Order: sequence, then C-alpha cells, then structure tokens
Amino acid sequence: MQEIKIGLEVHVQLNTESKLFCSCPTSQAEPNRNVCDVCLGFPGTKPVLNEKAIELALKIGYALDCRINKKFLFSRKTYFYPDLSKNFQITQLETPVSSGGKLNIKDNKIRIRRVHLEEDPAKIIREEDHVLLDYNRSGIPLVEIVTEPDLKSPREARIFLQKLQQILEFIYVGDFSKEGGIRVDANISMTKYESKYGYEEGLVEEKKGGVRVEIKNISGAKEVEKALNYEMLRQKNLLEVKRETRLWNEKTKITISAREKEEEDEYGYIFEPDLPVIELSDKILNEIQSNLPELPESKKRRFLKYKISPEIIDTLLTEPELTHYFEYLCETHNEKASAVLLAKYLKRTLNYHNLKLKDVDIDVRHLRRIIDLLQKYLITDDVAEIIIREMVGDHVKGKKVREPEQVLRDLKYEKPLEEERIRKFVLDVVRENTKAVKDYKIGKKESFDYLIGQVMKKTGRRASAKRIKELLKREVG
Amino acid sequence: MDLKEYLKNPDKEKLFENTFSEIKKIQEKYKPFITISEEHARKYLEEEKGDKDFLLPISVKDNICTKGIKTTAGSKILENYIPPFDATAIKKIKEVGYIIGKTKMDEFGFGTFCLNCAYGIPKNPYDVGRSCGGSSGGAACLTSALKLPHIAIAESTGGSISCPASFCGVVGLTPTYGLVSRYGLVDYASSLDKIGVIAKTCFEVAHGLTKIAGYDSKDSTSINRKSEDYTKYLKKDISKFRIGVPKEYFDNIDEEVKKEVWRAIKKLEGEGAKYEEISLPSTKFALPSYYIIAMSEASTNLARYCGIRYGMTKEIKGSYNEFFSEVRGEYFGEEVKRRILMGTFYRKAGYRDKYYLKALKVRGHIIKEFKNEFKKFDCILAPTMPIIAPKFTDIALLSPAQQYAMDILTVAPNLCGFPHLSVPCGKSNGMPVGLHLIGDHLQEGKILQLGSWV
Repeated sequence: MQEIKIGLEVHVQLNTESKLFCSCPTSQAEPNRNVCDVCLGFPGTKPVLNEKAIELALKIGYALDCRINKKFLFSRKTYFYPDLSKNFQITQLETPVSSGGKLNIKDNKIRIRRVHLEEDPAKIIREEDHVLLDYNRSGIPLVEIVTEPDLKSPREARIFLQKLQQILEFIYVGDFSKEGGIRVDANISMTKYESKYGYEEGLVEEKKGGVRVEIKNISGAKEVEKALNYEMLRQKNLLEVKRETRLWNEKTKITISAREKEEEDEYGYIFEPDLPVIELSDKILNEIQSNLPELPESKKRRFLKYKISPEIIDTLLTEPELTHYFEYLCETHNEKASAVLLAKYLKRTLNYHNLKLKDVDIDVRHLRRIIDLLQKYLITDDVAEIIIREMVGDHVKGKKVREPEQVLRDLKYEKPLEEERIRKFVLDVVRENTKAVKDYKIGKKESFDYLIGQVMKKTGRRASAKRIKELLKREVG
Repeated sequence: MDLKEYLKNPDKEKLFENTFSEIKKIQEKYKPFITISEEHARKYLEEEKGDKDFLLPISVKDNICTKGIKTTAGSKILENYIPPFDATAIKKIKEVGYIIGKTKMDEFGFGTFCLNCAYGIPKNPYDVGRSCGGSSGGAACLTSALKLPHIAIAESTGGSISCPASFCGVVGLTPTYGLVSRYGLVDYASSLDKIGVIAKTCFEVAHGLTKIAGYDSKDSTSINRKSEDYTKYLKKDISKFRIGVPKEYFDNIDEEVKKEVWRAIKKLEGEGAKYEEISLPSTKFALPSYYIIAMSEASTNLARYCGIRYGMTKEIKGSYNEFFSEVRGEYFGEEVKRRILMGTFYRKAGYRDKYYLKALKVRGHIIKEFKNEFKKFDCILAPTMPIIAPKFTDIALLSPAQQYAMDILTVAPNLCGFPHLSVPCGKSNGMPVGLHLIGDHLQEGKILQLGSWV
C-alpha cells in the first residue's frame, strides 16, 4: 500500500493598482520604470502598507472559509539574494491575515493552513554570462495560500488549483492572464507500507519513506500535475529519497535538485519594526464579508435548478463574466436558451481567439436580440453562432462591434422560409421517400432522421431542424 | 550668543559668514564634521524666499539623508552616497535653517565614544584627549565649540543623543518614539531609532523640536497628533512637579558625577519640585534586552548594503554570495561586523526564542514598570552617564562588553520610547556632568519645563 501526501504553497499576485509598500504602479512597463526609493530599498526609506492589498487578502480568507485575524503583523525574512532589494522580504510569520480554512474538492476536504501577505522580489533575467535585475516586480503584493498536506494525488492537486483559481477569479483578487499570476511550490511525501511476516510478532506492517521533497516555482495547475507525476516516478525508482528542494523545468519536464536541506530554512525572522501591528475594526470586516461576490459553488447550485445540464453550467463557471451575462439574459429570456448561447456559441468563439469575455466588448442587449431572432424562428442555431463569430471577429480586428441585424444584412442573409413553404418541402420528401416513411411507421427510428436530412437538403439553412422535425412529425405521425 | 539673543536682532548674512569662518577653525581643532556644505548652504540661502532673517545654521548627523549632500552614516560602504531625497525632518528644519554640514558619528550609530567612525574621531572641546561620546559625537562636539546660534539634528537609538550631550556639556533631547518622522533616517534599529536635537540651550532644543516634530504618512510608526510649540513650557512654574529618583541609577556611578547630579536635584527642590526615591528593579535587564533587539534589527537593516544598487561596490566576480561578502567584508568596520554577527545569531532559528523573543518580553515588562511610576511622577531623574567623558587612552583598555555597559543609564528610556533630556548640571575634573530627565510618552513639554530650571 502506498500513501501520498501533497501540500501546496500557492502565490497569487493581487490586482492592486499600486505596490504593497509604496505607490509605484503595478502595471506592465519598461524594465526598472515602476520603481522608487522605497521599492529599491534606498537607505532611510520605510514601507507604508497598501490598504487595498489587505482588503483583497481578507476576501481570499473569507472565500476559503478561514478564521480572520483581526490583529496581525508583518515580519522580515532575511536572506541574501540579488532579487531582494533590502536583502530581506517583508512577509508574515506568526500571525497571517487569516488561517485555518478549507476548500472541498469532491469528497476530500483540503485544509488551508494560512493565507498571508508578502512582497514579491525583483525579476531576475538570466543572460549568458550575467544576470539583469528588473525591480518593476519588487514590492508587488502577493498572497501566499498554504494548504495542509491533504492532497492525495497529482491529479487532485491540479483540480484543487483549478478550483482555487476559479474562486479567486470570481472574487476579483487577481488577474491570472498576467505573467506570474499564480506560482506554486509543491511538497510531496510518499510512504510505502509493506506487510511482512515475523516469526514472533506475526503479520506486521512496515512503513517506508515519508521524506518530504519540495518542488519550487511551478506556474499553473497543469504544470503542477506534470511536475508531481514526474517526481513520483523519480522517487519510485530510488532506493532512498533525500529531503531536498528541487526545481521544475517546464521545457525538459523534469525536476532537478536545487539544494538539500537537513533542517528548516534559516531566515532569522524578526518582527518588521517599520510597520505597526494592524488592527481591523468589525465594521471593515463586516463590509468586506458582506460585499464578497457569490462563489462559483453557490452559483452552480442555483443554476442547477434551471434544469440546465451540468456541463453547460461548468462552462458558464469558467468565467465570472459569463455567469453575469447569463443572469442578465435570464431576466428577460428563457434560461436554457441563454445558457446555450453563452456556453456554446459565445464561449467556443472566445476560445478560438484565446479571449476572455471581459476583454471583449459585447453588449448584453445584442445577445438578447439574437435569442429573440432564434425564438421567432427567424434564424437557425448555426446562424446565431455565425453572428456571434462575426461580432467577436469585429473586436479582434479592432473594429466597432456590429449589431446582430447589421451582421445579417452584411451576410445578405435570406429570411427563413415561411411555415407554408417548409410544409411543401416536407410533403415533397414524404412523397418521394415512401419506403423510409413506411420503415419509420413500423418502428425504424433512424428513418425519421433520414427524412429530416432530406428536408434540410431542400431548405438549406433557412429552416431550423427543430421546426422541420415538428412539421414532419405532423405528417408522418 | 545664543538663539534667543540673536532673534532680537537678527542678521542672517553676518551669521552665515561668522558661522562658516568659525566652523572651519573648529574643524581644524576638534574635527566634528564629515562634510562641510558651505556651497550648498550659500545657494540655499540665496534661493530661499520668505522670512530669511530667521534662517539658522543647522548641522545634521550623517545618518540623516540630505538631498544632494553626501550621507555616509559614518561608514565606508556609503562613502560615495548622495541621497536623492531629504529626510522628512530635514525638509521641515530647512524651513528655518540651512545645512552647514554633516557631523561625525560611530558607523551606523554603533558606539558610545564616537571612535567607530570611518572618517576620523571628533575631539572633546573641553579636553582634546577625551571622547565626545557617541554615537552623535560630532553633533555634540560642534554644538559645544560653536558659540553662535545653531541647532544640531542628531539621532538616538540607545543613548546616542544623551551621551555626547552629557560629555560635551550641551543639551540633548531625544523625543518620544514616533514623534519625529524617521523617513530618511538610515536605519540602525527601526523600533528604537529617534531623530532628536542637540543645542546649547533648552530654548534652542525646544525650538528645533517644534520644527521637526509631526506626523508623516511616509513613516508608518509616526504618531498622528496636534503639533505644539515646545518653547512655551520653558521656565514655567515647577512647584507642582513630582520627581522620582530611582536608586538603581546611582549604583556604580562615579562619586563626583553623583554629587553634581544630587546638587541639581536639590536645586530643583529649591524651585518647589518634590522628589522621592524610587526603585526600578528591572533596570539590570534593560542593557541585554536593548542590545539583543538593537543588534537583531540592525543585522537585517544593514543587509541591503551589498554593492548592487548604491554605495561602494567592487568588480562583480564569483557567485553572488562571494560578491556580497567581498563588498561587505571590505567596507564595513569591525564593530559593524560584530553587531551583524551577534544580531544574526540572536534571531537564528533555535536561539530566537531564547534571545530575540525574550528580549521583546523584557522590553514590555520594563515599559510597564516605568509607566507605573509615571502615574505618580512627572519626571524621573538620574545621571545621564556613569562617568565624565573618558580619555581615549582609557577607552582603549575597555572590552566591547565594557563599552556597551556604559549605556546602562540611557538604554531603558530608549527601549521604552520615552522622551529624555540631558542637561549640563555641573563639572567634575573640569569636565561637564549631565543630568538625565526622563518623561512619560509625549511629555516632552514636562522634561523641557523641568530642564530649563537646571
């Protein structure tokens, strides 16, 4: 028998406008432009805490069901490295913003040990024989989310991370399309139990392994799964696993040893004396808690009541904006039609362009009009998708996004057939395919589909399958 | 001539010329400066509009950042460092003065005798064979030697204002922690560092404090409160004052020093103040607690000097660790290395509980003990230093631990963040003796009020 324990340290870049301890912007810029005396660690400068970062960290604490520490403080983690402007990092040790939370994935409850705030070091750019330092990243606010070693497989680690990322997106604390949006250190230990028969003690279980190996700096959930899978394989082939820190190489897909560690890291933590103890009022906490957006889990429960398939709901839940659009559309239109339009046609088109809904300027009113057209049988489903493709295409080309009717005009779209015309085609098909009609009547269901196909051939895109089906049913019974 | 007299009939040009001709002579004799910034001062004086008549000569301890003027903190590692900004306190004091130069100090403030300065040792104007005290030795030396209106901006972590003020026979005020912004102060131990004032008289000190005190959003430990004019407390009636005299602060004190301090206390009694002997039994724990906290914080604050972004550097060779060690090994002085090593040890995993965290607990305990006394007393009085300014030849015989022990009387108020004032109260062997007045948090007014009667 084998037992696997995986614990994760997830670093999330918070989407504040300014850095954690100074007013430098966090936006993308030329190297070493978004810097000041404070984030470069000039002598005499002092940190001033960004309140927005506290708010975002607290949102994460609430979303992960954590205990919020009303009083917390910061610490200095001291180690020498060229990317640290002060050669210490301001982080939290004794009292993080919040601790003791949980996140359920299926039947497994993953305990969250802590959620704490810290500053990002500068970026090291490695050149052939030297390195360059870009301090734009120095002081960017990060939240570190640490789990207990409750994950039981690399796959579970991936699912956990995807779920976590989904929650973080829904509460609007991070932008994961940015470089370095989510970075993970993964700890894994494998314990083997072997049954042995001893002469005196009888059947005994012997425990082997259980050495913790840390894999540092993996970006993204899928890479974490790959890195852990590799690491499991590596360890299985070893006689003895050493306690060490390893690095995941995304290109070669292997882990390499960074350093062996016999004991805990030596960081010589002291309390950050340049920052006071932070005390939060109940008023602020209540405000943050009550303004916390609805979490995906609860949205899913609500949407399931609309009798929409779980797959479609999961697609809606891949982006908070899709769910917002869905709820707007539901105010005026049928839930199922709205969900299909968004989850199938729109999402498919966005994926094709590698876009997110929030990046595209699509008006909800236009989507409403597309559903109207569908429901009045003025267009078919595939025409609806074509309209959406054209509209997103406009955005991609940097043009003004056209209205659905304009798209139809530009496509020289012919109006769908009148019911009477479709009926004529149906009658034609029935007359021409007496054998198929007969077969259907004696119970051959496939024949009905064949008949539909024949009618569609005649009508082109100008009649929907649904409509044809209705009329055909009426004729052949 | 002191400031009060000068303000009756100010003449800024004459003062400027006199000051610079004087300080050049003083620099020859006693060497209080690392940098004299005459050109800078002249330009500032010419450009400054407004109430020019009241612009005063200001000297600044060299660990306080001055825009465009070299700021070394007494260390080789910052030999070429010109800050791109003014410390907040400097910005404020520039409204009433111009900077004449940067004064000597023990490297990063690490010392009691101003011997650990990379740029030479200032000499005591009372006896050039004796120390000026530290770490703000240059500030006190200059103040003592310059007989013109002048305010020295200094800084104390564990006694660096009181000690040199006492040794050089001038007045030194260390305000409540957080009253004066530390933004732009090169950190020694951030939870202990305070910018303060050294001057010849209580009036000048009060005037200086009034200008530099006040909230600063750039320093998160700065106190947000209404500003006040501290000169209004001077020479106010003290007949309702109650003074505590802690007996522990008279153990192992030079007899002459003790005598002078008691004479001063009796004098204050003559003015109507009532005194009572008290006990502060935790005094003996203040010294180790102070040094552990100060060194722990210092060892992290000084980590940034590594030859990458500013300050002295060397050719980049080897691994980054080798490079950092090369730079730090070459440009840090011996006492700096000693304190970094000790500070790193105190906060090391496995020792942290025993030293660093214990020291923090002791600190809390000492604050409580003092606070309890301040319920009954307006002020606590003691000698500032256990001895008069020592001879250089005698200091050479002291071990580092014996040198640290000289701070025994000044560390407690620093550790607690209480305001304290050293005023000259007599002489022994021709050398000045300092009386130490310690007040409760934000009671700068009271210690100045009492001090003005000494």
